[in-house]
Amino acid sequence: MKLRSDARRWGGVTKTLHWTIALAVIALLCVGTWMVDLPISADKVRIYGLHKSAGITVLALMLVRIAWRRWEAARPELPFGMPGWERAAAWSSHLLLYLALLVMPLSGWLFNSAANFPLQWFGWFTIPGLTGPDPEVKAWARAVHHWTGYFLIGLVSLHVMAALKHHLLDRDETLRRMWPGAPRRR
Amino acid sequence: MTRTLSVLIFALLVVGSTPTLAADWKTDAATSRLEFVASAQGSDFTGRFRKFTPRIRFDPANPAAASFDVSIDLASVDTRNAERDETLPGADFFWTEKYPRARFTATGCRALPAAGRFQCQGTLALRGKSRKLAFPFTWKGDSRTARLNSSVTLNRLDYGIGAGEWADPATIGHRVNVKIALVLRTSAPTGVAPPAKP
Repeated sequence: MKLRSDARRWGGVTKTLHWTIALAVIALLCVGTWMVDLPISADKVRIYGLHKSAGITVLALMLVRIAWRRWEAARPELPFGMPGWERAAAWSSHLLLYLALLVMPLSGWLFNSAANFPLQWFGWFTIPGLTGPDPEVKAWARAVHHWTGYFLIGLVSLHVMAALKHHLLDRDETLRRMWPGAPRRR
Repeated sequence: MTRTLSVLIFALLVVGSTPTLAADWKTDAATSRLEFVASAQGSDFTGRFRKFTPRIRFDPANPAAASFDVSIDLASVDTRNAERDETLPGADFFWTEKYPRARFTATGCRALPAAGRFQCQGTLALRGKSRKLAFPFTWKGDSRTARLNSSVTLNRLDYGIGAGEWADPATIGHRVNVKIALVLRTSAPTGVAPPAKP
């Protein structure tokens, strides 16, 4: 498998980043919506700790992904003959995914900092806060994290449905060229 | 009759001469602090008790006669974290419903070799458990105003605070460092107003 993308297929680095982030984000969204209603317990604190650690990891992976995307330059083109509205929808939903995947961990980190909670990456090392205790920042960072979360659930659903549409209805290469592993010879 | 009178005069002289020595100190609530440093998930955090009432009788020249009696309103805990401050008074931690106040008493004080340093034998009653602990402190001041500073480390599990599921030190550290910084003033003995301080 080639590490760098070319005009036909995504490279190994982008694929690995895409699927790692995808799995982490789906898990984070599920755990995140579930954990908030848990009664306070030591397990809740641990689950929050894991959620925060995984979220910070997604932030780091997103920064790597953006840097890599800029660096490798080449990327597969959209399927031939795709209508203009679909191109616009693909472009804007991808942009929004990138934005939401940055806003989500950043707002969580900010919320955590303003609420004066510690942040320890998987029990290994402490990540400093973005701000000191601040009820006002806490309130709006929490709201941003909450609503971006629901927005992201919508975006991810749209992204999955679009991929399936390309694969099952249009029968084009869109999903296959991101699928893990070496390309099948045809 | 004359004998009774002389005993009485003698007694008055003795009593009348002592107050400036074993002074009762009043705490300035605005500038005095009762804080603690604990750790959660590997990070230190600082908390404080907003309400506590110390009764202090202390004379640096006669530490053996000193006595401390401090009552701490546990529900007044403030760690600048709303969720934590809601959780701490609960039954797993301070259990303020059953034990609203902690009480610290100390007597048997002695001067340590270093100037201005003293140590007393203290007892902390917290969440239904009473434990003896050494109470070292520094004392700076004159006959009217003074500052007391102390740092005492205790183990929260000795008092059953956060036992059971919360006992894991990776979640909440066991050691709690209590920091006491009191600004003290003697009540004016002859009706003279104490000097105004900014």
